[in-house]
Amino acid sequence: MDRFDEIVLEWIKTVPSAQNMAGLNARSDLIGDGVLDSLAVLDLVSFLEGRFCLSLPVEEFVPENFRSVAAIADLARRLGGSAS
Amino acid sequence: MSATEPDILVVGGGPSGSIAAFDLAQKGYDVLLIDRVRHPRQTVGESLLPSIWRYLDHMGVSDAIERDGYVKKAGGVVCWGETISEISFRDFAYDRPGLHVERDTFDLLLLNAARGAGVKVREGVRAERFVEPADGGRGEVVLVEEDGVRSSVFPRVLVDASGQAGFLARLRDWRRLDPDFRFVSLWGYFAGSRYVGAGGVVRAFEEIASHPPMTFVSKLEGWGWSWHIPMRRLTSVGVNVPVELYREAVARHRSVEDYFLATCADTCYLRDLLSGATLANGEVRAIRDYSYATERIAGPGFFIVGDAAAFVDPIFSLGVVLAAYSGRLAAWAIDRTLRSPSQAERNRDLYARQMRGRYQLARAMALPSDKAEATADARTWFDFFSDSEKDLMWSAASMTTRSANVVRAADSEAVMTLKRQDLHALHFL
Ligand SMILES: Cc1cc2nc3c(=O)[nH]c(=O)nc-3n(C[C@H](O)[C@H](O)[C@H](O)COP(=O)(O)OP(=O)(O)OC[C@H]3O[C@@H](n4cnc5c(N)ncnc54)[C@H](O)[C@@H]3O)c2cc1C
Repeated sequence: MDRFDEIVLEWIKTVPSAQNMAGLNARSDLIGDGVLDSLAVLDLVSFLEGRFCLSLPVEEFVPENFRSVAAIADLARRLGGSAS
Repeated sequence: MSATEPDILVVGGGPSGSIAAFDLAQKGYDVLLIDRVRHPRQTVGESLLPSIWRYLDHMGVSDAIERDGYVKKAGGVVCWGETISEISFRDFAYDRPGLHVERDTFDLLLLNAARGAGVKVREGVRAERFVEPADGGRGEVVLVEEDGVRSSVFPRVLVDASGQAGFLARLRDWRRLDPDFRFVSLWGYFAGSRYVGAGGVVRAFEEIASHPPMTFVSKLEGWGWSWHIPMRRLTSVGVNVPVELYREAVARHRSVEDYFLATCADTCYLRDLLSGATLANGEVRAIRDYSYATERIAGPGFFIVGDAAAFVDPIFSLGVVLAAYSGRLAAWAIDRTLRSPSQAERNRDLYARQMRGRYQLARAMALPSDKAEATADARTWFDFFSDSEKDLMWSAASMTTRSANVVRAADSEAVMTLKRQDLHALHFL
């Protein structure tokens, strides 16, 4: 877990549907288990763009990039985000 | 707010318009919403999937829905040729039921929630013309009052939520009718109809408060299907038939009403549910050519949401939840764009792709088998669903023999579980 993972995990924990998910970790399947639905993903994108000062190209708006905390953190790093 | 320069103008006070307006007002924008009629107003589309609660909670109206005693539905029963099957929402990780709602009061509840969030609502005002903004400025929308007086408003963004009327699509000739769905819907409201409950048990209308109903769908002789949606006082019953078949058939009957009642009486189990029931006011309503897509659904200074953007076929009760989703998605895209205009193009593109994917999946669920084609947007869209939502789509589609279509359209390798019960017959107590 680096800084990116931690920040993303903290945010995911605030999603109401994450509250009853036991053992939430960086690899948990957020989409399959219904933690991130199509509406929560929008809030997440707003958060990522603000927190990491990045802009998500439309091609990156695909489920693979949001499947887990690790995938989301990778995405943020790949798009040149800054975790400071 | 300035009377003629709101940030946002929403045209239409159905679910899509009220939800978009609510969100944007909550984010601090000046929102003006107009509707050409006064609410409460009648409209069709009464069966709602459990995912509607996500939106009702968000707008703070769930308590009112409970208090007003709207009918809760436990799932669906489909009679399709020789097969009768049932699905129950609780098998798909939903902890709340679906709903059967009178749309006049339901839509008013949402519109009032928008008012409560600060949206200014003007009824009896019709949008007539739209001039797109130049260079990120304000557009112009010409409004017509009931007495014929015209005036203009200049919003930063127009949200077209005008439903089947399709304000912008008709103005710009962007609507494309779906050649595979040239249907007519006829419907009416019955008093005293029996209904189908869990396990395929047919019950007297009076039991509705103690035994939740199922939405009952039946295949018609030939091509087409019917719905049976019991609500608090009346039951909505409709038939959907291809336009040509309808023309021929109506010619053989004394009137549209006569044809409608004869079709109900010819349909598997519907006749039994309706025996002894009466058609309220003897009135039958009709709509045709309600399946279409729109060439452009977002552009400089405008977003088209809900039915104004696209509609396919009501068979899986996706209409209102899709309309609600599009309202929230558009509100998100508009807010992001107004905050950071350099993202305008990205936000429009994202909106259009998401909506295209949903539309294509909805279409695949309704098409006769083997017609659906795989598309990237449908796949992206499908893979955003949770495992249990996928199971639900697949199981629901299987009831009308469309499950292969869903898999093909979504080009999906997902492992899904069929969760439906096959019933041998309905049980009349
Ligand atoms: C036969 C049939 C059966 C259906 N059954 C179901 C179902 O069981 N479940 C389900 O979920 N969905 C169903 N639907 C779909 C559902 O009705 C729609 O998806 C839903 O109503 C769309 O909401 P909306 O907000 O986009 O539009 P609407 O609810 O239609 O609202 C549009 C509003 O815009 C106003 N308006 C139009 N033009 C203008 C203008 N120029 N200026 C100002 N105001 C204007 C209208 O007066 C209206 O109030 C069905 C549809 C059909 C055709």
